[in-house]
Amino acid sequence: MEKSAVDILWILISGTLVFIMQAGFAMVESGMTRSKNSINVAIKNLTDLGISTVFFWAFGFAFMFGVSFNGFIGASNFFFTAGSLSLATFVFFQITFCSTSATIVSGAVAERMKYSSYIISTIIMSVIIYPVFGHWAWGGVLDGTGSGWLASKGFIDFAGSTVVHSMGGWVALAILLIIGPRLGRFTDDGGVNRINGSNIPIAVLGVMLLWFGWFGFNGGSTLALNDAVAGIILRTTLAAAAGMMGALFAGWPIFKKADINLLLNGSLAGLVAITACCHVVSEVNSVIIGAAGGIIMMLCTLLLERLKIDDAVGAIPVHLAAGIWGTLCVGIFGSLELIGTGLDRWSQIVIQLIGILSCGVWGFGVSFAALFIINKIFPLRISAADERAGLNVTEHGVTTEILDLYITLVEQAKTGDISKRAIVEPFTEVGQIAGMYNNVLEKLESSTVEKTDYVSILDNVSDGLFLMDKGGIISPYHSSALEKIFEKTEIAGSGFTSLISSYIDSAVLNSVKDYQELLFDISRPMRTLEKINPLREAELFFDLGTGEFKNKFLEFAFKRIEKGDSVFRVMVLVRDVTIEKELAKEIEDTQKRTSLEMELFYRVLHVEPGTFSGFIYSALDDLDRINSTLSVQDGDPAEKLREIFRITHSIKGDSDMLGFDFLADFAHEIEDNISALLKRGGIKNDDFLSVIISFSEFKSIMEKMELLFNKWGAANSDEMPADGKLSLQLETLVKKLSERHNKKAVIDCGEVDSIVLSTELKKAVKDILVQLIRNSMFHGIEDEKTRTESGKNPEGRIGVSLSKNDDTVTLVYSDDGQGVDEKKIARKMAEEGHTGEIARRDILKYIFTDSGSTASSVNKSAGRGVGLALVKSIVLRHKGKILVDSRQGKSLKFTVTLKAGKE
Amino acid sequence: MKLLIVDDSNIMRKAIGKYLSEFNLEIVGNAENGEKAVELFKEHLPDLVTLDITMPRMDGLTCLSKMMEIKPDARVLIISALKDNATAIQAVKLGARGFLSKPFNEKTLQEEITACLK
Amino acid sequence: MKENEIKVFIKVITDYFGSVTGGESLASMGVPFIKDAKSKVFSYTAIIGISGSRKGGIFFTTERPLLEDIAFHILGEKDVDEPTIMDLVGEMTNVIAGNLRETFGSSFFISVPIIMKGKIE
Repeated sequence: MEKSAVDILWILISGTLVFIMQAGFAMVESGMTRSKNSINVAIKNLTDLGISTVFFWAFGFAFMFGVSFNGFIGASNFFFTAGSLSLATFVFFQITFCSTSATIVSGAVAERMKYSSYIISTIIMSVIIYPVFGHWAWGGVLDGTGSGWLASKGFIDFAGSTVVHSMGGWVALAILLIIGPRLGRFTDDGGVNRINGSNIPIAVLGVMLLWFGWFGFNGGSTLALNDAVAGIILRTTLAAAAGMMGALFAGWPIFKKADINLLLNGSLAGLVAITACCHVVSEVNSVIIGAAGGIIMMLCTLLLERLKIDDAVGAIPVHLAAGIWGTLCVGIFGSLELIGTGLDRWSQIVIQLIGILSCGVWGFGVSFAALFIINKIFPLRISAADERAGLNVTEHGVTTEILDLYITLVEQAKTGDISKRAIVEPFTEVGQIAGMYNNVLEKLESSTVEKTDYVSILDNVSDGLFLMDKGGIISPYHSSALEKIFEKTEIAGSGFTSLISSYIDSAVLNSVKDYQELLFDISRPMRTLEKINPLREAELFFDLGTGEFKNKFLEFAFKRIEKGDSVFRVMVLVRDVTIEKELAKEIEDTQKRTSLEMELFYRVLHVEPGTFSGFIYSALDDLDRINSTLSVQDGDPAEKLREIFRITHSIKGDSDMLGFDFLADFAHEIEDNISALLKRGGIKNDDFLSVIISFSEFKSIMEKMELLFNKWGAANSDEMPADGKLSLQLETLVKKLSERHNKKAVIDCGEVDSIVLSTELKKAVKDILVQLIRNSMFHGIEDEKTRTESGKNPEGRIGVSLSKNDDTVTLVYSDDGQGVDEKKIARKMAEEGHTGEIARRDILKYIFTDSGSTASSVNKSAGRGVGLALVKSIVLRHKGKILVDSRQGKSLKFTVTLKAGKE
Repeated sequence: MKLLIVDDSNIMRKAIGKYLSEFNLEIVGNAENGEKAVELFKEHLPDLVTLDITMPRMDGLTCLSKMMEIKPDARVLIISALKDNATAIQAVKLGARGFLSKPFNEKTLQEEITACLK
Repeated sequence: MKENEIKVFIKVITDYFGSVTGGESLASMGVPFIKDAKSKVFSYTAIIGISGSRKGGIFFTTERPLLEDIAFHILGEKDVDEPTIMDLVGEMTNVIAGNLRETFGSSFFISVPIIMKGKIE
């Protein structure tokens, strides 16, 4: 096929014009979609141009125009190398056609298809789908390659209504069925939302560019500058104009307005329709064909909406529907003579129909099958979040001013903070909107002072205050005290019952749920509901995460806010009354405690303090012995019980002696219980439970008594201040005792105050010293007269020194009195039945026993014989030792060592 | 207006009747247990009921739900010694209009009845 | 606490060991005694605070071999790491405390367990 220079020039110009159509498509599609996707749409147009050009050149051209294999597919000239000028021109022209077909798809699937997926579909289209059908209709144009099967049967599609346009439409339809409509295009209740284009002027320019390019599309398809060209161009422009008008006037009464899309797509539909038949119809017919094309486009648009197929720019109505119509028009309106297939009109229409159907079966079938499979492995569609954000950002990382504004608006809607201002991008329309929006915000802020006041009240009120809706959801504005009360933030938006659920009893929670429902039921009288408020005085338990709970007493009050005939919101007021409650409870507890303590106190008043503390010490010591007996896990249970019985019995005896009847009774009950168990026999571990419970109660009474003694017994004793430095306390005690016993004495406490001891040891040391001082002042130190006679300083001297190392505390106590009266004690021991020789050692041991006192009368300071016995029990408790150094008539010295750490 | 008094204590029934003598109410029945209360309710369809919760032979809540099935617009005042809110809330859920806890006096009962009749 | 309540407590604990070991271990109570400041703390201790209807705490102290044995019954593994052991002490105490709610009612609030390792000398 050698061409003249003029023909070649015309084809090249036409090819360039068809190329311009790519720009037109880019403008139309990006103008008719939303600006958040505009960049993606435009770039897809550039992408498919590049991809289709290379792939069609490399493979598509060979399949379309290569040597025919049975009229079904071409198979030569891969990676085409143009042997001649004419061939190069032809290839260039055909590439632009393939690109046109490919780019039709991009508009239809815009705003939701993945960019990468689109590249795949473009490749499939340029390599297989477009070229194979192209071969069927147009194959054999190159010399000696053989015609396609449709061409041989007389199918006529002059410039590609079917080959180029319908084919693009079919593939678009296949993809749309796979990926589905854009979000919000069709609602669940059957509603249809039109998604408006962002830049209609650009779309209009695009349509005009397409119209202009079409002169080359149709005019160049003669492949020569012959006498048919002018007529073809005339009919092309007539059809376009008629298409525009047809769609406009048919659509006006239906849509009650001059619809922009109809004008744009009407023009294009006219162009598509005339493409197949522009060389064989009259001018009048071209107007009819164009106008009908526009109307068909409109009807197809409505049909797609009804079928819920979302074609973003109307590519299917324009290219597929009008393409089918135009192809049929060859048979309907074409001059049989000019067609030149030798078929009668009816046969021509039939072969046109066959062509249309085979295009559909091939184009739709192959693309649907291929992409359906690909979609399963590699989804063609973007995520919903990406779709909302727009493909400009998600696919390409580019933003537009409108996105910035959008982000600001979303942020404000979410936080309710309107202090933020939108970014004003100068010299853009959106920038102007943003500027205006900021002005509106200024005005709004200055005129809504009341709300600010309201919010500041919420910030300052000391009670929890919030509104909840029917679902129990807490409103965004609540007093900040609410967060303090519940010790958590972000309360707004959560449910009321779930807010309190972790702090209250589940039974109460169920009541609260019911109560909440009743509050919102206006038929229930509020007066009654107020009475049955399950949270009127609620105790909430807060787990501190440290193994402890904090209890809070909260008062909840509910108030309905009514709107019309229903409860719109419920206002909830929460007061933290923990402090009040605790005070009240404390008073109650104090009263209860006081009555028990009064009784104890009454007894205590009748017992001398030293005796009393001695009793407490030895009783606690006994209880400890019982407990350690029990804590040894092996051994005969009965024997253990008997041991416990013995100790209990001794506690009972002491209690009795001191007149603590209630303790004696208690001990007696325990004895009875143990006796009964022993009598029954077969002691099991379980049997110890009742015993142990009794002892634990007994112990707590004893501890209470100890506390009481420390508080009152010691503090109110006439002898010693309860606190202050130890040296000072001891000096006071010595002074008081000197007065009472009419003896003179001073105490030298050395460095006792500087030794740091644990509270427990401090108390032990003090208690020991108190007893030793009493002992000295009563027994040891002689009166002034006796001392002077025996050549001593009339003033007695007591020395105390205290030292401490890693594990022991050593207390050295001495006085210069008469020492232990060994003869007198030996006599007493003999009286008590001690036979044989009484060693000195035994005598010194004896003074630490309960009956070891040599006093001839019992008085307040000593004489009950518990003073040194108490010292002994304290020392034993601390695993210590006592050394006694007594020099008759001269001095008495005690060296006490105590273990620094118990156990 | 017709009044039905339901309480297992004879003294309470008398007291309620006496305290409400000033109101223009016709006492159509006295019931000392739930079963009898429902029977009398069916027979007379009273407008107002005072209802105890803890009673022999059918407790107040069951009794209340049966009454509400028969005549949902009857106004029921619960008079109970049960202090727990859960029971009271159940009663109101079932349709009781008012709640009065024992012990009560003439004044508090009259106030409650006035509120119930509103 | 009354004797019966203590018995409930003991039953929950013995049942726990019985069910965890699939009836293999029959735990029983030793001779009871009163815990005081002198009582021993073993290597692993968990404490759960109690509030609501009762106030106080549940205190569980033990040595590692027991925990390893329990862990073996639960996980079927002989070697368990330290975090697992620590976790187990807390979990055991938590289950025991949780089971007590059946008897002591839903107002028997139990705190999250606090786990301690090491003896207090």
